[in-house]
Amino acid sequence: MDIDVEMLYNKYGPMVLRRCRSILNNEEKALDAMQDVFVQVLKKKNKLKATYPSSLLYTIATNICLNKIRHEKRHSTVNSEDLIDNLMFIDDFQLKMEAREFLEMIFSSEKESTRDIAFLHFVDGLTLQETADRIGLSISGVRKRLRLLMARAGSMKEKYHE
Amino acid sequence: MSNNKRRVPDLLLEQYLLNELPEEESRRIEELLKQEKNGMKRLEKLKESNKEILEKHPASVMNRSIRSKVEEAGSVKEGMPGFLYRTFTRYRYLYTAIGFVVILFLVFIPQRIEHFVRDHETIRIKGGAEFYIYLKEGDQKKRLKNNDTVRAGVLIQVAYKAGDARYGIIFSIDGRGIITLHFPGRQQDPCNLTPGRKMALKEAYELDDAPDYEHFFFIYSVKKINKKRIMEKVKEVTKKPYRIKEEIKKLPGELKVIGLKLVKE
Repeated sequence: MDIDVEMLYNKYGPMVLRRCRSILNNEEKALDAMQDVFVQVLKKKNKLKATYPSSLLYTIATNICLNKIRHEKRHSTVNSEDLIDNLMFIDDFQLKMEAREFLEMIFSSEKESTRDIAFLHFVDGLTLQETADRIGLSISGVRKRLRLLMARAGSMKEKYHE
Repeated sequence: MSNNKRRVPDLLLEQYLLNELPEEESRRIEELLKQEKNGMKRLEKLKESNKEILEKHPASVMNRSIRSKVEEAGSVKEGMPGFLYRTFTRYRYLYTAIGFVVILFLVFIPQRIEHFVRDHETIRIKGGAEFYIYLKEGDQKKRLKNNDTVRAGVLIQVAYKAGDARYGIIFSIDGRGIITLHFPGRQQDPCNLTPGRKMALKEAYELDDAPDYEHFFFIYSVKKINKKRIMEKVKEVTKKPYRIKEEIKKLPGELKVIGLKLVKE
């Protein structure tokens, strides 16, 4: 059965766009990412049989935006305006770059769903139960993933600062 | 966990408004919103934002953009690009008839095949540049063909043989429309090709998780090329890499293009 994109967009499009805006901080990129979310839904239509599609769409949007950021970082040619902005706040910039590098290091060996869990819990502020409901894991499963993630992050932090 | 001073997370607010929360949770969120300073205002703002977004980006327009992206990504029918699929279905009977004639031709006049192959080999050997993409695994490398499937994270080695060409650029475009320049190594470097033997680029390229494909292009010429102008033209069609050959050939400078598309798993 074909998906009615207009109906889906009318209902969920604004939520998805807001999510993309909040992560990418750029209207054009957010609009592009929002379309990518629906492209992904069209490609994997069988996966949209969730009781509450909003959870799935929100997660897809988060992943697409985070992947875009990661991709841009890998392929970035530094824009002179960005560079000037960054140089004006050099300490902050260095800290951000270090934090970004460290986070990439942590998540490079983690499952994508662990990144989703961490984002929902630590960034979006969902409780463990709420996170578990949206990811489709038990609360103990979420707790365990976060515990292991924190442990690995802790040991990486030590190595990183050695 | 105490709910007293907790700000309702955006996702829960969205789901509350969408009426996509179980009844009990919906009541809980409603209570939290009442307790939260400006909680109900946030809800109203969300409703206004919905209206504003749908007015600014209407569903009919978004539907067209989204479907066009799906087709461009070539994902509508098992990886076949949308325009190819449409052309194929429209003329399928004609293609079948042509196929039948070609089979007859090949079966009854085999010596023609020999001539055909020989002629084409001669053209390639005489001076056309060549383009190679390898999958690199440790010390091993495997040559990849057009439409071979690869996964994110693998290392790709690009190589070329200049033939008669003296200048060239090599880049790839991924499923997100992002261009990566592989040769010359830096934007400011000259585009002079090394003549003679096959030349592998200095660095292998790790494929990232961009969806659908990574389309590599080798643009070359016997004449000096205007890299900036070529890249500007390429940027115009990043979402439609299948159009690059025809677009590039419109530019002056006797440019030739070899493309090789890798399909992402």
